[in-house]
Amino acid sequence: MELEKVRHVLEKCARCGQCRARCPTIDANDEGVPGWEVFSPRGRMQVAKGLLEGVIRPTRAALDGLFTCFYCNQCVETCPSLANVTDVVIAARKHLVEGGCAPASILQAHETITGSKNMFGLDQDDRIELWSGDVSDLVEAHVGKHAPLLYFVGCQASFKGGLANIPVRMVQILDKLGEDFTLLGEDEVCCGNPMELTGGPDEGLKELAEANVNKIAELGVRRVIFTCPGCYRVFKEVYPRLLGKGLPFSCAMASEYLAEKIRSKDIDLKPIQLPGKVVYHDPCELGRHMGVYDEPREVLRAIPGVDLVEFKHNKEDCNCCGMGGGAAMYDAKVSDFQARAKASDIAEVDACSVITHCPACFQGIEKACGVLNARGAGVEVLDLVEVVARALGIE
Amino acid sequence: MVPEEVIKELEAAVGAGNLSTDDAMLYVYGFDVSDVTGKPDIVVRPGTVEEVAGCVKVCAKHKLPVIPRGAGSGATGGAVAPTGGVVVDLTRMNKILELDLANLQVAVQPGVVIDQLNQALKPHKFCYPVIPGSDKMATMGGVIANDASGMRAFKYGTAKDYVLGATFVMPDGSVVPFGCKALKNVAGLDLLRLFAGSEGTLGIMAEFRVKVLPLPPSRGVLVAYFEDLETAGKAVINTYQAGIVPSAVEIMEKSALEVVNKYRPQAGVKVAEAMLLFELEGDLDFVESQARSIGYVLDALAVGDRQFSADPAEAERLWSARSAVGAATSVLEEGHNRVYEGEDICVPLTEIPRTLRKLRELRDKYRLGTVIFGHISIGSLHPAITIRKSDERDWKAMKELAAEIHAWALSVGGTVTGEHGIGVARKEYMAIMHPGAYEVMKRIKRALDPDNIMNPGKIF
Ligand SMILES: Cc1cc2nc3c(=O)[nH]c(=O)nc-3n(C[C@H](O)[C@H](O)[C@H](O)COP(=O)(O)OP(=O)(O)OC[C@H]3O[C@@H](n4cnc5c(N)ncnc54)[C@H](O)[C@@H]3O)c2cc1C
Ligand code: SF4
Ligand code: SF4
Repeated sequence: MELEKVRHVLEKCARCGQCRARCPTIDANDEGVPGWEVFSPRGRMQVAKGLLEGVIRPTRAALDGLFTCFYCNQCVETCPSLANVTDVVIAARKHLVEGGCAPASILQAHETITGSKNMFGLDQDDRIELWSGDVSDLVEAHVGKHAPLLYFVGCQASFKGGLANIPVRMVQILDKLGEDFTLLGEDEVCCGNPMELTGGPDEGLKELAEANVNKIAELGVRRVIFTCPGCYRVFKEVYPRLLGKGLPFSCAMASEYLAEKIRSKDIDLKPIQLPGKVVYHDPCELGRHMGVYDEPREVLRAIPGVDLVEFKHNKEDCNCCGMGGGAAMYDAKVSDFQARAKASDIAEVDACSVITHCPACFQGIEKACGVLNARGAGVEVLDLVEVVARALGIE
Repeated sequence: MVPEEVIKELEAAVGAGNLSTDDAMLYVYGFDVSDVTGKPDIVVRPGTVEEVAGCVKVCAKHKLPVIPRGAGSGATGGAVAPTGGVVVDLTRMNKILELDLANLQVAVQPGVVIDQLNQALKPHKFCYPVIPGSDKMATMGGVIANDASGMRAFKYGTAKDYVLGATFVMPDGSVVPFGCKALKNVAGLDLLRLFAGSEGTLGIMAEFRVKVLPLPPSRGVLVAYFEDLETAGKAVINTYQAGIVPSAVEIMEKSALEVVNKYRPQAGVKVAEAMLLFELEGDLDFVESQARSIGYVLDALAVGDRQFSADPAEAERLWSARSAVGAATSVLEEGHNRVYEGEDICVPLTEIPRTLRKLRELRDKYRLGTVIFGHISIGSLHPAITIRKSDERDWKAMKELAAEIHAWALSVGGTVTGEHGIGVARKEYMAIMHPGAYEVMKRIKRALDPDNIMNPGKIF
């Protein structure tokens, strides 16, 4: 039983409530945010405890509490008892899925991923087509070839037209840097991140992991590059557990890869012009979950013309954009509330561009900028690889 | 089960979206930091004084228990519902209503978090100096209802010392404003001092006017290591006798130093019998001259091992050892976790060395990992006991250990609670600590709340 596995974490919790302070879903300061105790990390821990001990049923409030968590890890960062709240949230979600009590939207999402091999239920044949556009020849030339380096695109960037610029620019960067690289094309399957976060069964996840890892290994790949921290985290942290062995290749976020190039002076970044200062938003899964804070900043600082400023809450303390943890799959409203909170953060800094390094955050920040731009602010959102591409003269 | 009629009436008072009878929701509201539990029948989240009063009126009519609740960071079961009833969650009322800094005061709703208030005051160079260790989550309502304080209590006092006015919602639902904007007021009985520390047993405080102070311009931290506990105790008393009033003096006993060393080696803590941290505030010259004076006190006691800094980053680094104690306690022993019992004694200053030794002795007797630290400036000690929560024997031993700690505190003229309060957890000590006076308190309670609906089972 999933919850039994986290009993020791539940026991760590002293119920001190300190995690209330930074959890975005209990932050009752923002108009409209729920504020009930079940929306706090401590509340979620208690719901899990109640379910484990069989003293509560999976009521509406239990589901609301557990499925609105953004997996942002602010609670874990704050907890003086070192209790990993998000491990408990995931275990509780799994417990509900196993017991057939999870929300219909979540079960449907699991079915879609298992059936279509992507989170949108779209045709796998469209994995490349939907984004490659002007660079389709370049992409076709690389798909499925044997190469030491592979770019794992991920479902969001593959299928959501508005994010197409991320994979386009990444592929152009790799080409410009003369890398011998490959892509999985229609053989790429969902990494499993949305399923893992929402309590999907291990068997389904393992199937996805095996499909990706085996195919990548077949191509003789030694290193996989990601532009999505969700895929990156699942490959690095979840796959080895599911498969019971280490991966036959290493994993790096695009920023880690680019920072290495900068350090070894293998990249020539030209000055670029941006409308004003830029601020970097730390994606939760990349920062608090994987500890990658410095490389994205190192890359941005290396680009002449980029004037980088910081949010008041940054790095370990960066506020979530509201797109994490599969919460939006359960209740889009909580994401919208959080986008508004993020908009206040953006309004506080004197920046014209918000740079992020995650396709999900891109959408969350876009929402937040939308809130500000409706008031005439004029803030744009960019992915880190888009900025690097400009500095490499890629148009 | 509460009759449907009551739910309808409460819904009419707060709005349907602000009431819950969901089983999981009620379960979650059945806890605070202590091990006292109690699931309410209903939780309401009023947004205005009128809504609070409306809810209390419904409860008074139906003689239902009313349990005021802030952040639920209390350590005594004060905010839970052992006899069922209606939990009134006040965290929706979290607005700072007025900053009247020329008159050194602010008006706030009860759900404002202490840190939220201090963040709002900081740009104006003001502060609310009642800063408990729980300031990031504890609410104004909870802090005043518990007469909370913290490590700066020696210099700044406790929550009651800062309340200038409050709006009381009495047990019959009537709304009684009290106090004024003057910084001094001795007109009649001081109901503010009666309600502060009453732990929600006399009524709900639904609005406050509190005094704030100018933020000191600089801060210095002096750390000193001691090879015997007596000298550490003497250092504090001699500091006061030398005319120095530090804003805080904290003690970390050997167990705390060891565990912080293990958890955060970069804090650079040495292991000694005890470490004292003196915090000094004021303009830089004053901070430095106070540090020098403490230096003379320490010289006279032949305590050479010390460090001082008034540089903000370095002072913070020195203080970081103290900030790390909570988390460090979690790594004391694998599988052992902290419980809040016997955690809040306060003893006369001269009894501190003996008390520290007693705590060590008791820890060894019961073989339960215990980290000892506290606000030595005012005699508050916080032994943090850790147990294996799934082991009944540990629970039993812990209860006995806590009882012995309490008995010791009383035997040296101290109290079982310096800050955290009585609630349910320490109720048994009321008659022991206040023979006679407890009866007077009961009479006051009965006079104001004849049906005993306000937070029943707490204190009384
Ligand atoms: C890690 C940690 C550190 C702590 N450090 C300190 C410390 O340094 N000093 C200290 O004094 N305490 C400390 N505490 C204890 C606790 O935080 C305080 O007692 C705090 O005042 C409780 O505030 P709360 O908002 O959480 O109140 P709750 O726990 O929700 O309620 C506490 C009591 O107040 C009553 N109450 C709440 N709001 C109202 C209201 N508006 N009107 C009437 N009654 C009300 C409740 O019924 C209950 O009896 C600490 C606790 C923890 C977990
Ligand atoms: S999860 Fe950690 S911070 Fe939150 S209540 Fe539990 S112990 Fe406190
Ligand atoms: S992960 Fe984020 S949203 Fe979820 S409980 Fe923790 S702080 Fe709250």
